[in-house]
Amino acid sequence: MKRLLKSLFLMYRLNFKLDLKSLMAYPATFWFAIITIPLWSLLQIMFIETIYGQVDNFLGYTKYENYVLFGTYKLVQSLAVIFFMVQLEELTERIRGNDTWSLDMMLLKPIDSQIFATTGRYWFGSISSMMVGVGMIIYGLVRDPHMMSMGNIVVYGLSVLLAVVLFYFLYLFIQTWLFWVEYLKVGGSLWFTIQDLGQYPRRLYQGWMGILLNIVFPITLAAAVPVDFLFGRMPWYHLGIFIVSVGVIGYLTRLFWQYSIKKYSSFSS
Amino acid sequence: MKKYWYRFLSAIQSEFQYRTNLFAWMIVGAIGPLIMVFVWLRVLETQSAVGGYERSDFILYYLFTTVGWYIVGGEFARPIGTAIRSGDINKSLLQPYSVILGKAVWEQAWKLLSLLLSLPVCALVLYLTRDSLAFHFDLSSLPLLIVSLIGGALIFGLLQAIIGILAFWMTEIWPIVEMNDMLLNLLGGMLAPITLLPMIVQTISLYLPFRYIFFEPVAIALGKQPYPLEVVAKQGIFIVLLYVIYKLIWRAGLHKYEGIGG
Repeated sequence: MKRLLKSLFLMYRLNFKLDLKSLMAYPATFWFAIITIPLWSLLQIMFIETIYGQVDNFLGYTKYENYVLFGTYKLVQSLAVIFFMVQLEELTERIRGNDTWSLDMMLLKPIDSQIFATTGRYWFGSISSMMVGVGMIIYGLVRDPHMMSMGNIVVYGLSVLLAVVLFYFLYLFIQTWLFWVEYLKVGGSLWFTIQDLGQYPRRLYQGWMGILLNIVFPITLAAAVPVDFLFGRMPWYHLGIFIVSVGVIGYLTRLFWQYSIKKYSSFSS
Repeated sequence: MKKYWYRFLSAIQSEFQYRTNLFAWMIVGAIGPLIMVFVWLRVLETQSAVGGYERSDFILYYLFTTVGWYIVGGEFARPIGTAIRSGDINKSLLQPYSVILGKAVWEQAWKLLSLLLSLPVCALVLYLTRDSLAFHFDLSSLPLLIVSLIGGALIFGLLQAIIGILAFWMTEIWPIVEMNDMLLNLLGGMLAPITLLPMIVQTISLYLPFRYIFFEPVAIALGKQPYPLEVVAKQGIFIVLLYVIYKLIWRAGLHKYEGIGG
């Protein structure tokens, strides 16, 4: 176990350096990303302003609470993109053998295939998006102050990290279908689209959609649960339920990955 | 034109090769508008209308923008950019074939198939919501609706072509593509009907081509545009303007182009 952790640490550190060097080699791409990616937040800000131009309270959230909700979503989403997007996005071409690393080569390495093939690369272009998220959280809290204990803030931070892991499992689940269907080019877009469902209050989804998005595949928990912890609307011990939910999703996703890897016919070699 | 027709047919064949993507793209395209409908219907729980839009209008608005995307939209700026970077456009300079038009034609294949795929889904939505739907469309506006859809498609296509040929100067055009998509969402009315957005956004949208791509044709279809002829005339002005800009950039780009690769 200790050896595995050490090799993982070395791999992540090396990739971190390589991705930083790549960033320095193509700075224009980085700066374009830094400027353009956060612009998408403008859409949601306009939407919040439009909705709250009509109502004072939307599904239990005031306007500035909604800013905190969207800021939290943006924070979680940006962290997921920074830490998990690159490897999972490249999986499509790796399975086809179009990438410099084919999946076949990766499977031969003496390390867990899921960890090696789907984690350990970084995309720093989303840092600005993360900053926008933090800015929106601060703006919402300043305009509509809430009483918050240190415990609330700690549990909020932990639930944000859990939500990032939840986003990873979601993308992994989508990309694992690559082993079962032909060239799935839409994986990344599907991930971003499904993620976006998490930026709205949970009560938006009712009936079968509520069951699907709040319980079966609880993407709505990604931002709503951390915000509920922050505002003290949810007792801290509910964090345990959140951990179990994410753990179960992670376990099932891993089973799906392992089963799919066994069925993989290695057509790219 | 025959060469473009064959290109279209080969694009259709290519799409059939990756059928799952078609289905998945349809889901991706439908989720956003569906959520918007949910949001507005929840807002309408406390009031009967928002800015003149009732329950029926919101359902039809997002249904029309979703279907309208398959008629008017698409995305071929990136393939044009790649063709310039890789030197693939060289053949278009030597032969009577336009790579730009070729990419645009190729894009129509998945749009047509997605449109056909989405029709049963739309019919189902219309059936399920039949009790709350009210159509205010005047049949006499049909010719103008068709012209405005064609106008919207031309404006959209010219914007895509202009962004694509910026690759003569830029190694990466995706940030411009992203910005264009964002503006299309906000000022084109895909996020929400423009008349409901803050006044500053409404004012800006009047001077840019984006609202004439989706919002105005959909407004005509909903019977919410009292001056459809004026819309078509403004579309005509933007088409001419964008075409001139496209030609100028194309000529300047060719002077700079070194034709490496291909």
